[in-house]
Amino acid sequence: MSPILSVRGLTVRYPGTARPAVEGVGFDLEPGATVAVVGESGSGKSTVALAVSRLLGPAVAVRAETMTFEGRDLLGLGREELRRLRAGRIAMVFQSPSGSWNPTRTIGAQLVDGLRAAGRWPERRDALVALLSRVGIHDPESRLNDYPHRFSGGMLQRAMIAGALVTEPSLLIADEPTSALDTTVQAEILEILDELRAERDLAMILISHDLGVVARLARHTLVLYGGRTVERGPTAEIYRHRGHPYTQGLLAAVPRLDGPRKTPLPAMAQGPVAHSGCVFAPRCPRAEDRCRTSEPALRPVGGIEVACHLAGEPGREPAWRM
Amino acid sequence: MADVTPLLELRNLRKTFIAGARTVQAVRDVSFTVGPGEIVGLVGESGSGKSTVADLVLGLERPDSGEIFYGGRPLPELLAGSGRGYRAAVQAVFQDSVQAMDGRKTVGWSIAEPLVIHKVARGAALRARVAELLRAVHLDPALAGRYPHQISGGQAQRAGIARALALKPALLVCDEAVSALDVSVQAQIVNLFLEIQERYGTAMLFIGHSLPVVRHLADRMVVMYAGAVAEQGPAEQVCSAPRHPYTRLLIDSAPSFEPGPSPAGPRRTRGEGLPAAGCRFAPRCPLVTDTCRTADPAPREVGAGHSSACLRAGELTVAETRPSRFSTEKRRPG
Repeated sequence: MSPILSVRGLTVRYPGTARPAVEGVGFDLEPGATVAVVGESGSGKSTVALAVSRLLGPAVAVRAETMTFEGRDLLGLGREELRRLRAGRIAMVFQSPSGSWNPTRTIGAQLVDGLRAAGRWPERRDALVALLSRVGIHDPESRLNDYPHRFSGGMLQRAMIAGALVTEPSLLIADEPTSALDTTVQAEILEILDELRAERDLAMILISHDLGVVARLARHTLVLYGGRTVERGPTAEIYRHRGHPYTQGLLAAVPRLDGPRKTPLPAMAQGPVAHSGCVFAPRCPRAEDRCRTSEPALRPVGGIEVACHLAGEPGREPAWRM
Repeated sequence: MADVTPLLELRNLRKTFIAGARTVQAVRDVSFTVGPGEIVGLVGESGSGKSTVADLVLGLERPDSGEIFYGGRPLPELLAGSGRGYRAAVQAVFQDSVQAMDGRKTVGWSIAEPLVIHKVARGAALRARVAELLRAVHLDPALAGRYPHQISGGQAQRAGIARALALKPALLVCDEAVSALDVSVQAQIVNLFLEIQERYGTAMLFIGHSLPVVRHLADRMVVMYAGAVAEQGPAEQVCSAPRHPYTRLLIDSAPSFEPGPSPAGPRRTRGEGLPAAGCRFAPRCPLVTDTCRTADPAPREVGAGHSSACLRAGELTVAETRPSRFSTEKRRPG
């Protein structure tokens, strides 16, 4: 199957910054597939989302060897073409449920705006009501007249997902879509998203700081650190191999319901992103001289790709164990 | 902890808020204790009343009925007059320590403030104590001269903890104290809380929505749903052999690496409001019976120090609460 989205060598530099926020990031996304982009604050994961949706302003330098969506070069599109694309084929859901809604207008009015922008109003009216009910909003017809303050965070996020999917996009970019929500609501919304993905052959970029949150949904995962891809591959293989010390550290730092209690968690030291050599070297417990001088390229190790000089060397145990 | 006088005891607390035409029973008949040096985890989702419980314990809200005892003495008595003794002994750590600090004052000033207010130290002794507190939370004492916006989220959280420790409290009330942090920073702060418990014997009421995090820290756990205690008991027991279907749901909703649909599955049957009668969890409960919709279950002992407010708690075993009841067909991850 040919990919719906193809990204190669994506590099983004914000004005006035010494180094790119994202450098050399690439992935392919097939219709109906989900890729997770995982990393902590400053990893560049949200910048990837904004770059793909072309939401970064003109002052931000976005370059890529390839960035095509449904066969069209995303970097070559004009303003109007981009607007139409975002109103229809590419949909987005962001983290903050309240920050994404205008408090002075009803939920319904704002959803209708979206459909109008896509030229799909009133044609998709019934589809919108059906979708609202589908994502778990009771009595959607009457809830459309409510203002955002009458909705809980989870309800706003459900309405946002319905609004994002009602134009029948082929790509959904979800940046921490459930991070602000309770875990029960989070699990439920992720499950609904995954059902809709499967039904609609929707491709999804799922951005999160928590590998555990995305593991169920994404067949492929990119782990970013300091704007670089440090590990990439099938999610199950990444979890099994944990090729990169950063991935190992991320996984080990999260307490688990079946893990030990009341013992110190293996917590990675904090440290700056290195400007030369491996970006992770200042925080890496295994860093050697070569890590501080030469930058490791992403290379195949087992079933995944890892950007670490030490990955795959015999006798090397993961730096952290749970 | 049964034969020791509890450090903190909450007895049948009730608190109702009036929001426009509606009244919200934020806390309904909540009772539990925190022993000296014990970490009690309080979990539940938004609206479960857990933060209201924190406000009641901190004396920021007064209960409509019920009582709070600290060291065996009732809270109104302790708060009479300046209430400084209690306010020194019970300190709070919040989710966002940057916002909790005065942005125009240095980090050192924020940590020193309680020492000044309570006239514990001044001058060189005050500066030395601030440096000591910063070192206790593994921060460089030089950070005292920085402003909140000049430090990282993790450093701010440590500084917030240093401030809370300034008066050598017996109890820390931590409301979502690690929720907004990156996972590597979260792990460090969790470790710091464990270290504080061990080194100073500080008790904690640790409020959170992440079951794995709370389980890691807590000796005992209290699970709240819709203002009431659904289940409480030893943390390990509550998580490995839950005796309330809501606890089971929280466990199934925790992030995990099992591929395929979440064991909790989608639950779109949830109504918008809470039922007027019967068990508040009934509309979401996979084990609901007709009786559950009429009788409001009171907490009952289900094991040593372990109680559940479920009518069917007696028949619940781990197998019966297994998520198969919620499950949908298996799907490959996309």
